[in-house]
Amino acid sequence: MDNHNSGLLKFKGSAIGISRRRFIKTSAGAAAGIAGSLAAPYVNAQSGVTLRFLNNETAAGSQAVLRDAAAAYESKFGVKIIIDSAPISASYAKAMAAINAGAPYDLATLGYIAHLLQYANGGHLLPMTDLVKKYTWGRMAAWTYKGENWFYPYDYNLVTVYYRKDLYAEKGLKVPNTWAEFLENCRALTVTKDGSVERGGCVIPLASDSATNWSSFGSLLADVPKFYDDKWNVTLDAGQDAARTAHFLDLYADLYKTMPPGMNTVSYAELMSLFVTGKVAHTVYSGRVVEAIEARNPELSDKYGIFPSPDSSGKQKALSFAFDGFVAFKTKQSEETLKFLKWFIDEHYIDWLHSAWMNFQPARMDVYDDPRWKKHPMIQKHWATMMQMKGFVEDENVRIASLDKTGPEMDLRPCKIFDLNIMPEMLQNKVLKGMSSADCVKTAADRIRKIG
Amino acid sequence: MKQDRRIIALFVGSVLILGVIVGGPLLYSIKLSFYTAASFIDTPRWVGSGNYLEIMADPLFWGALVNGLVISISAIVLQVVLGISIALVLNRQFIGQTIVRALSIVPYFLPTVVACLVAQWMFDPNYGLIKSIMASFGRGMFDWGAEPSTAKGMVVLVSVWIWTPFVVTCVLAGLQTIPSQLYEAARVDGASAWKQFWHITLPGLRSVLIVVVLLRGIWMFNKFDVIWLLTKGGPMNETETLPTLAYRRAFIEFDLGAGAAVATVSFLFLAIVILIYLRFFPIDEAKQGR
Repeated sequence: MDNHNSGLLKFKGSAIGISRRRFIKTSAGAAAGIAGSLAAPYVNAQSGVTLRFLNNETAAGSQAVLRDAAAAYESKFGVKIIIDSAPISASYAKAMAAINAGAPYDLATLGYIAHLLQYANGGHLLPMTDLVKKYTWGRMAAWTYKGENWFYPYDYNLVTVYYRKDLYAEKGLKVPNTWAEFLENCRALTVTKDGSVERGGCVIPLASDSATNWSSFGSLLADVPKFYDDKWNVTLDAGQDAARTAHFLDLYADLYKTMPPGMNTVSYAELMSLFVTGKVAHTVYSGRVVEAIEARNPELSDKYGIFPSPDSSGKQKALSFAFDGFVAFKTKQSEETLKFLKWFIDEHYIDWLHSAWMNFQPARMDVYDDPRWKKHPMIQKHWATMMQMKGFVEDENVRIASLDKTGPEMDLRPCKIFDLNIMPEMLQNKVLKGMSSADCVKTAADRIRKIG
Repeated sequence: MKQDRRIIALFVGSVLILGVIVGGPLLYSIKLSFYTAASFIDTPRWVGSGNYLEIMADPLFWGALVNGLVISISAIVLQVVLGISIALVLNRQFIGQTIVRALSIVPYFLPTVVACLVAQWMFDPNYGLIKSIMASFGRGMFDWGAEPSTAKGMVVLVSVWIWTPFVVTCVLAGLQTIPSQLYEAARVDGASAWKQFWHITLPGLRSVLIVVVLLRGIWMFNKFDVIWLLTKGGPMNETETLPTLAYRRAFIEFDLGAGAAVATVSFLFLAIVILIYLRFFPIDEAKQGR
């Protein structure tokens, strides 16, 4: 039997004075409001075009450049650009989820070859050959796959060796030309106290992560061991290649003794911070170290130098590298996407490079002569270093290579070496497990064979 | 009658929601474990039991299972022992008891990522607080991340730090349900503190402890965040457990089928262990026994 209050909502048994009808009406109104706000992008798309841009450069400066560019483009052309920023580790999953949901992003920044090959093989990318061909690019910067350029590069992430010029001068050391000289310098600069390494000779990590894959193998790449023959047979543990790799492991084991503790947990941040805080005399990284020096310890800004990783004999040098670029996905708005990208390159490419002024080392060679780019005060301040980095790109004796690009052609197989952390675990087997160098190489080669 | 219908509707609604939220992904994961795909945009290919045979033949899988058991059991034992000890202290009357009780559960409120970052900074071999303390005694800092035992120890330590307050809270609630007359009678009979604990407190906490160990067992065995934040399964896979292995296979190596197979086996293993556990320690009987 209902009483007269039965139409009111009750809270802990007492009526709170809202009738069911009113509640339903209010809820319906709220639902309509929420639905309306969620549908806003769709409404916007009706009035013009909305492009979605997945950005993995999450530094505040880089995001600000994209936001400004998007606002300028919208006010000029009426096209809305939604910027969705996510770290590189999350952006691949987001991009794939969007493709699977039938609503791929229109544009994205991308920095790993495996992701690019998967998108290209799946037919999800627009070729950018025409856009790329307009300019001259540094070595290995604008590589092609199946005859097309699939990304518009914006930087090199060359891994150079950073050293302390002041400490070199203090000890009378020279920039090393061979592995042995590098080891001697590291030994000479190592300081121990009370059983602890007060200042490490160098930091070259061995953690099972992308930082180690990217940064730790410059010296190995300088000695050019082949991982595969021309038919994708694994040759890392055969003949000269096995000997070179084992020799590199012996070097690493000696260098490891000069490193501070914690190499198994060192990643990108620590590679920079250990050098910037004076905890090590050498580190391996891209230009972002210089940005970190200026941000956290400007006193070091005239006390650092760089050199490429030497080989064992002094004949050749190498730089491990990664690339970064813009990709455009195939959507119904492809024409508008390419139009925006072309406009962005013409109008905001330099601003974009300035947002990480040393880390975004230009891959497009004309940029080095562009007065807009050169006028950045920090680029001017570190001009000698930047020119040295440019010189490495132009010097044919400096090999530019990376683990994920070994093999006779661009392929997903070497990317698996990277993903499975086969090479970092080879270092761990050597220095943490104490395996012989030959066994470490054999174990790594067997794992690579399993990839197929 | 009307109330019965409401109850049935709520029950069916709950089951349906759970079915969609839990059952859906579970079934999808099991289905995925019979396929192989190189990425989420790749077309999956049927491989039958291929992924299961592959992971069973992989020493890393068995290592991860053992690591998971070692880490879980060590953490649970420490959490329960410490939890009971702290709860016994907090159950006594003393000045500031309320404040101390509140403070004791603070680690439980900390986001895991904060707790792990704090631990990493404390134990950082180059800058950490522990390093400074050891240096003041003229001792060098140990490299906890390079040794399997210390890396495992760190995972256990942080887990114990975060989760012991949960045990403390549960045990404290349990202690307050034990009639004080039992202790008075025991004291009159001349029972020592240890005998009171062994014959009154522990049996009185039986049902609480069965649930606590069950929950902590499930949570620790499935623990991902602490391990990933501290060691990422290293060094040399010595802190790799089944959840981190499943994640690595699925989301880093993009071997989705193998990742799903590891997750499915982990789920089945845990389900079997829980069934055996509940057979030996039935919760209802524990209540009746009290």
